[in-house]
Amino acid sequence: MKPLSKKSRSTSLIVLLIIFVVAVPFLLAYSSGYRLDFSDFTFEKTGGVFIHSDLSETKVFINGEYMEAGGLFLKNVLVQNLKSNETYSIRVEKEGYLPWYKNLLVSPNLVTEARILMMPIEIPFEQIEQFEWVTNLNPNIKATSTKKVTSEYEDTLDIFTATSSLSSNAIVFEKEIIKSTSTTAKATSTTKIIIPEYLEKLSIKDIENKKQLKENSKMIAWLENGNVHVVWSGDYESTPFFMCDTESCKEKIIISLDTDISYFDFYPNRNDAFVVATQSHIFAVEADDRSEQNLQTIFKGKKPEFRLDDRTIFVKDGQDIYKAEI
Amino acid sequence: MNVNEEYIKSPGFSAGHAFHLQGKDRKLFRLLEILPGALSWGTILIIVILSIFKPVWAAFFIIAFDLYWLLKTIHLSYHHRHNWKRLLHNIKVDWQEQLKDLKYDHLYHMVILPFYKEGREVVEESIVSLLKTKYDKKKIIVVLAGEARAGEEPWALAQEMKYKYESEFAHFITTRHPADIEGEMAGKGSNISYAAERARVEVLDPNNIPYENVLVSAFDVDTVAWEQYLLCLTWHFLTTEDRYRASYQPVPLYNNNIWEAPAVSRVAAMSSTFWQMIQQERPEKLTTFSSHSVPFSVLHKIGYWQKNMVSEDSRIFWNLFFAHDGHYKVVPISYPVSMDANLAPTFWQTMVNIYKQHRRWSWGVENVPYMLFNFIKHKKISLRDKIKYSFIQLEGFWSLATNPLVILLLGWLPLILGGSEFRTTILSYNLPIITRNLMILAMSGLVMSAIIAFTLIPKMPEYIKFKKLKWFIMGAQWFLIPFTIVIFGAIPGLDSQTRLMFGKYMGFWVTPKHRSDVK
Repeated sequence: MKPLSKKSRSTSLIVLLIIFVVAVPFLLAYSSGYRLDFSDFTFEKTGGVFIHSDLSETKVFINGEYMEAGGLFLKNVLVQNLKSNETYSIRVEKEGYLPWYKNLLVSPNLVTEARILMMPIEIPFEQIEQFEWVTNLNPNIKATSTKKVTSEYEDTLDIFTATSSLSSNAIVFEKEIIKSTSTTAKATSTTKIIIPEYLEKLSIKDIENKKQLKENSKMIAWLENGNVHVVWSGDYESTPFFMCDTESCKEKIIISLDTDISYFDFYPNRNDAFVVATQSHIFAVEADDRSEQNLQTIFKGKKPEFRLDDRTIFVKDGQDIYKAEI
Repeated sequence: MNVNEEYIKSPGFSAGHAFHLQGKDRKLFRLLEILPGALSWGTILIIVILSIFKPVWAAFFIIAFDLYWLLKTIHLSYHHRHNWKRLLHNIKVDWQEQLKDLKYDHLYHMVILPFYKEGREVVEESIVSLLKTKYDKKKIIVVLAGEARAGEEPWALAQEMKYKYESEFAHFITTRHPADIEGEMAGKGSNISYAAERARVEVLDPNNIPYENVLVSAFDVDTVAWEQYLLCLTWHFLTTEDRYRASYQPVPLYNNNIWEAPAVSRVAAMSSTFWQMIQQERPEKLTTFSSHSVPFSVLHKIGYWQKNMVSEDSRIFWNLFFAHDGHYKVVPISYPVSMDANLAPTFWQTMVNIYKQHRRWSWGVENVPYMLFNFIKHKKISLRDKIKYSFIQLEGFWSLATNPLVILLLGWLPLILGGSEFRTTILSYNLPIITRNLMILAMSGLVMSAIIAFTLIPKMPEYIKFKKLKWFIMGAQWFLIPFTIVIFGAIPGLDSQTRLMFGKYMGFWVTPKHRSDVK
């Protein structure tokens, strides 16, 4: 049997070389978002949408049409081939969860990112028992039962009290006591609040006096006039996608609801979403304001308050306290 | 058949590295030693720099490179598949029948088995394999080439082997290469050169055997000749035009102990075999490797293998190429010889040995400055050949050291270093998708590799437990390829090139031959 002939080898090489030369421009154009418009045989620039998801197996609809589903492990979804310079209505669904909506502008050769915020339709809140009956088991005295506040209720109630209600995200300023050394006057001392450098550079007036000032992964938020104000404190380069368009990035996002927000905290493990308390509701709300911010109810009550401990939310409504994982 | 006597005497012809030369020649050789490493590191550096400052360009380069890799895989698979068929064909052919119309009873085969401290089972198996070959044993000269620095025990073993098998062959001599000869590097090259010369003095000359009638097979001590190896080699020798201007290259199958070696070792070993199979179909890219055969007459004229460097197996091709003014080739015989896959008493030691063996092989890059230097100096070789061989060799070593890294590791760099602006482009999202898809396509060729491997491995020994599982692993092991081509391909390749770049020349590392005691 003879070795491969020079002719066969050359043919293989030339064919593959031609494939390479022809395919490379198409491959590069395709990967950059160019698509051939068969109607007039011209290339048009397309863009895409990338949906970050913490939930598996979500379904993504664009302009009402089902496009892709997230996987069990690869939960994020990329949708390509979208005509650029158009705004698309995105809907993400998952059974048992509230849907998530967003209108996003798709730019040529770029990917518009978004991150879903989807709460279960039924959050399984569990009420923490306030009282328990304790029976006296001393054999020398008559057996009696007494009503007593449970230790879990007492402990949970404690996190709502003023002294220990600080969120783990709360910014606590250090203070420096400056003593006057004047020889003529009586020695006095003044307290100076030390503002950390990353807050100082934001140039926000009276930042030390902002209500409920909190920070999570370089996102700063505070309560002002019943709204949550959100500011990015990291490098401009790393500003989150939802604060930027192709031209520039915004300095601030304001989360404003129909009723005043009385308390807020960052949504667990996220710096782009918040849990907020209003007169009668507790909501999850996203910061992303490129279109209407998604607002999803966590709890409805008379005058609910909440605190977060990692992924556990404690809700106090009157004397009742509930807890759930979110 | 004449060699260029004048050129053989030139200092560049016998230089092992730059410091064997003087003056401007040394500087030039040194510069050429830097070239392969500079090309490989330059490629890596360019990808890193582009990924930071021009991530779109880097991404374009990587996507184009992915496609190039896929098409190259197809091209190589085509050669591989053909050589597989040819190899199986050549194993089946009755070479005695093929030789019946050719006169070959004048031919002697000198088989040199260099050894260091390898055990009896390794040495004896190779000698016995020669006895089992279908060739007139009275035309076989065995040279068991020991090393004085190995001590007395191996020498005693050599004597024992001689005593036991001397009568079976035309001649059986043992040689003991003296230690610390000035100007020599301890290693296979200096040992087999010494052995070849001893064989000339002790066997060829006293028996008036013309050098032209002797074909030398320089084996490793674990090389087991297949039944028809010498017949097949003889046929190729006799039917090759200009047969004295050629070396003859079998396919090394690393399967003597394949059922005992761990999966990583098997994949690394079979990958080396596959590469040699591919090269067998591309003779213009083939240089002699490991066990190979050369006419004694030409070897003698150039003073045998070079003694002052490591990669004597490929260097002998270049020596003969320059000695014959570029009119020298390697004839692929597409017939197997079996050798040992790496196996040490512990898994970790096996891994270390594989790495060291592959580093020694990739140290073949030391031939690049030698080749380029002699191309510059040699005036009788055509410019076309000089350009062709330079490109082939440089591209080969560059590919070995960089391609797996570009494909499997550096392809992600634009995403990491490209900055937020790049990360918003659809290109940045498509880069990993396209790379992944093209790689999956390229890796689908592994199915063919697994099939080919199954046809080349020996029968599973009886003592192996869990036979079905072992067969399954033998197929599934090919998923280790992305790991082995980086760890035992690119990294030792870069290691060698970097050492050469900085003039940290490697010495010869003898791969320990270990056979499991399970049997």
